Amino acid sequence: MKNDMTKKAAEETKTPEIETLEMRPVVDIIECEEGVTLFFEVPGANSKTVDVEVNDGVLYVNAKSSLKRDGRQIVYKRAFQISDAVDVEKISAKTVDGVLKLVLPKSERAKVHKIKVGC
Amino acid sequence: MEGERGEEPEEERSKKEGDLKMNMLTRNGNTWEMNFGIPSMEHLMRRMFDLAGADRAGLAASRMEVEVRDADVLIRMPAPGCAPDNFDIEVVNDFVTVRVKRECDCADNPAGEKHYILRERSFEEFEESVKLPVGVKGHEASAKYVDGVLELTIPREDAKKNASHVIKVK
Repeated sequence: MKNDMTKKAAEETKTPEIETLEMRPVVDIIECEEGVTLFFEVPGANSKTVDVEVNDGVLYVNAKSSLKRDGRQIVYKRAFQISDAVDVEKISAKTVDGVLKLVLPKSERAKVHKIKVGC
Repeated sequence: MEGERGEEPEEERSKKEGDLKMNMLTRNGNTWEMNFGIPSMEHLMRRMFDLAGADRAGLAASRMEVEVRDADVLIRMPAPGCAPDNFDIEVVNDFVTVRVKRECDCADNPAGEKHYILRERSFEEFEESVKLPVGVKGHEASAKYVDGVLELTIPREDAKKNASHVIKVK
């Protein structure tokens, strides 16, 4: 009973959740020998509010922005399917001035290895 | 939401959302290739007229957020990937104009051979103007750039005083 009352009181004092507006951030994808670099525009988001996750071969980007539109908080969301050739363990992310930079390195197995043929 | 997977086939969802399906590093002969879904005709047309970013909370569409507060007016404008030097701000009476000129941050990319697989971001120069609903002191305006958002604060000319007025009806 006491627990119920405590729970009810906690619910009443809980601040109302701000409605969010999901948006698709624009992205540049650049390929280089070492892998692929993605640049997402996520204005109003920073390293504390950006969440990058790889689950079942899909890369998810979720960035909460401080910007609002029509009273709703903007949340940038986008997902890409990636192959096994990406070294998931070595994916790095950095946010600078509202731009999220993701580096997806190729796994050693996927890199082109040139082998010289001896005489 | 793109994150919710498994409700419909991947191809259908990608087409519907106009998203890019990236089958990264597909083996083809002796080279690695990046295979992507074909961009929609609408996207190509928008790209042709440099409107690719018009539907985002980015640069092309008017996305100035104006908040009139008791003492000042706060204007917030998304402009990711800029530097403070890229902004040219002008306040004339109650009319505010912001010009942004930024350069491609390609130099930030890893050195060596590279090519764009997808290019949606725009580095065009642009400007936005807004007429404020209240009078402001333009000469006292201040601006800062945080997380890709320009924040411009301009004190109000007729700042409200916290005094109440009681009016009697005769």
